[in-house]
This record gives sequence, C-alpha cells and structure tokens, in this order.
Amino acid sequence: MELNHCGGAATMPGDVDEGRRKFVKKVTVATLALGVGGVALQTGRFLNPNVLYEPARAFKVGELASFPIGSRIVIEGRGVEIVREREGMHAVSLVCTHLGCLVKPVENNPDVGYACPCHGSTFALKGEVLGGPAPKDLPWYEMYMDHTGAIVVDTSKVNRERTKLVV
Amino acid sequence: MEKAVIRRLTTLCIVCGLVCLVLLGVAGFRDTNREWKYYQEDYREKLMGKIGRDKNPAVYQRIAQMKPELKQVVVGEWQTVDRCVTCHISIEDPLFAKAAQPLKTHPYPELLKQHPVEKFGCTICHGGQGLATTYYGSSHEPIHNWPVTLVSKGLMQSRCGYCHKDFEAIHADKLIQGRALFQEMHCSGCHQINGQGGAVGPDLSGFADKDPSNFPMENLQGGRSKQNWVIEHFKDPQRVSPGSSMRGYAMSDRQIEALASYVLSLNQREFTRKYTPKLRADFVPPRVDTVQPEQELTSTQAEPDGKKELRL
Repeated sequence: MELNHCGGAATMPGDVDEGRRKFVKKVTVATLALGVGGVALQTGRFLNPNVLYEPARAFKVGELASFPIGSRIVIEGRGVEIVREREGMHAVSLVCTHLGCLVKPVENNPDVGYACPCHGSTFALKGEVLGGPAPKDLPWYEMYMDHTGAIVVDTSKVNRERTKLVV
Repeated sequence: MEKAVIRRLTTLCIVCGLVCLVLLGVAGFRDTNREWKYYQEDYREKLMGKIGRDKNPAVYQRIAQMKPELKQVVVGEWQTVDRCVTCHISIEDPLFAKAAQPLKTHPYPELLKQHPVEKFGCTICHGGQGLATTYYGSSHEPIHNWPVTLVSKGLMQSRCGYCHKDFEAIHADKLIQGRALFQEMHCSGCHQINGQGGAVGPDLSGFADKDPSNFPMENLQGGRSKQNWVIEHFKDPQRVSPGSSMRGYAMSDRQIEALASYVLSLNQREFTRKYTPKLRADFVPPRVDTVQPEQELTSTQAEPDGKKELRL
C-alpha cells in the first residue's frame, strides 16, 4: 500500500520532496533491518539442529509383562536399568557420574546396588553414591507407559524427584 | 538527468530489498511448513479421539502435549538413519490398523514384532531414502537418476534374503522359486555365485550390494531403479544392455519376480550376532550350479559326435 503511495509521488518532477525522501529512507532502513534480522534468525535456526545423528532419547523398553516384580533388567546398548519393585518401577542410568563407564549392577547385596569397574565407585540400590571418585548420584530417567502398553524411557528428562512409575 | 538516475536507482534498491525480504519470508515459511508436521498433528488429534479424556487421563494429557518433532531410528549396524517414523508415526500402533497412509499400522504386526522398528529401522527391508522427510524425497516412487527406491511389493522377499539365507525356514516362496529357476535355467553356466558357476557373465555374488549408479538405466521403459532394471533386463536383456551376450528367457511375470527377488537378495554383508538370524545347525546353502540330469539326453544317440571325441 505504502509502496503505491511512493510511486504516486513520482509524478512531481524537479522538486525535492523532503517527505518523500524521509519515507524512502525509512523504508530502506526498515528493509535492511528486517532483512538482516531475518537472515540472522534463519542462521540461528540452522545452527540449532532439529535432530542429531544419535539414537532417539526416548525409547520403548518392552511390555510390562517382561518386567516382573522384584526384577532388575539392564537394557542393552542404552545404559539404563529398569527396576521393578512392589511400589512401582523406575529407570536408573548406568553411566558412572565419574568418567562415564557403565556401572555393573551388584546382585544380592542390600547395601551396594551398583559398582563401577573402572575406578571402584559404588552406589546404593537407589543410585546414591556410596564411595569412590563419583561426584554425583546415578540419575533416574522419566518413564511412562504409552497407550499401547509399552514402557517408554525418556533419557532426555531426568526424574529429579525420583518418583516411581506406579503400574 | 542525474536526479532521475538516482531516483531510479533508489526505486531499484527498494524493490530489490523487498524482493529479498519476500524470498527470505518464503524460505522461512518453507523451512517451517513441512508435510510431516501435518501428519503428526493429524495423528495426535486422531489418537486423542480414540483414547478419550475419561478413560486414561494421564495418557491423554501426554498426547495432548505432544509437539511435532523429527523422529528417527539410528542403526549403527548398517549405518542408516531412518526418519520414516516421522510420518509413519503410528507404524506400531494397533489402533491405526484401518487408518489411511501414512498413519496406517504395519500390515504384518507379527513380522514387526520379530523385527522391532527401534532395532532394525525401515530401510533395511523396504529400501528408499531413510534420511528424507518428504513423500517425494524418500523415493516412494523411482526418482530420475536416484536409483535407490522403495522396494515394490512383488520384490519384498529380496530383502528377507539379505539376512535369512535359509529360505525354507522363513517360507520365502519367491526366493525358493527364484533359486530353483536359477538352477533349472543353468544361470550358473555363465554367472558365478560364491565361487560356483562359470565366468562368462558378471559375478552375481554381491549383486544386492552393487552400486546402482553403475547400471545402464537409459534403456529402461519404467522407472529408473535397480529393481526395475533387473526385471526389465530379465524380460529383454538385449534392449536394456545392448551388446550383452545374455539372451532372453521365456518366463512368466511371476517367475521373473521370483528370479529378480533371488538375485536382489544376493549380498555379501556380514552382520554382527545381534542381527544374524538363527540357523539350523545342519544348514548348508544349496549349490546353485547343481547339474540336473536330463533323461532324454543320456542315450548315446543324442550325444553329438564332437563330444565323444573330446572325451577321448
């Protein structure tokens, strides 16, 4: 619309139209700002990828029936262990918080739940650090059951409250 | 005069600036407006309708909060990144058995159960462009000069044969028939498979692994894909690769499909144990160059004299 107005002003030859000059200047600056801003925005979006070359962070681990009460099942290749107890179930990370080795679940020990083979860090059954160089507890991941009945673990979300999935 | 020039230049600058802005806008719009977003939105709405707020509030809540995102399956074993599940998001969802594509459930759920999408991805069986996120780009139909296309229904068994070398164990009727045809028509007279057979024609041991870009596609009537090349080549070798010493064989379409499935299953890939199907302990792959005795020709009259002399 305003471009038409600009074109219309061109019918006055010779005269210096201050208003028109200002308008042209404004349009130029606005175009420049919009253009540079748009390019910056698109470049920013380009730098922030939609998806990475990595396995999906949220994945199905199986049906509920494959996790009987009292079981601790390590999901191969994913670095998580699914623990199902009478009160509910949770997914605990098996990646040592020290240097990232895979910790090994310790069977039949009421005090020690996990032990790291690399530098000897030990963790309690719930993942709290007991000893060794590990600085932090093993995190729990968010976990839910989808509408098909499959258990899904989302490793992109840490379950800070350490709530169990009640099933 | 000078003023007029400056005025013109100013107008030109403004027009160019506006054109650039519009182009930028179009680029931004096209970048955001992807077809898979609509499919995922459609899935979300349909799923919310199917589940209902009252039946399962927690699940309903999660689905309501679902945002369109690129989904992919990364399989290190064969270095694929399959984004098919971005559109075929409900491929494992039994609720969508009767939905329209791309939301339709896999037609063989029991097959999918043995080959979970998260472990195998899609393209190892179906072919096509796993990385693409559009209908066209994922090569559902052959793309000119891009010969890695989706495997057609008739040739699906060729992909079973990638890993399953015991065709009887998986009841792959086309592969069994194709291998039998290979023996019956004495293809091994010219072609070698795993060191068995003659050396007149090309070695077919790793035929499935062969780079499709090396195939002469210019004489094909149908789509330019390796699968179509094999089929048309069986129909008329002279037309597809002129100057070839292979002659045409009288085969029905079903026989051609079977033989094409068989040769397209011939690969030499090694899979780790996680991806290798269990084989019977006594399984020995049948020889493809078995000599079939022909009763009519065993009598002495039928044998040409030249052959007798050679025997001496």
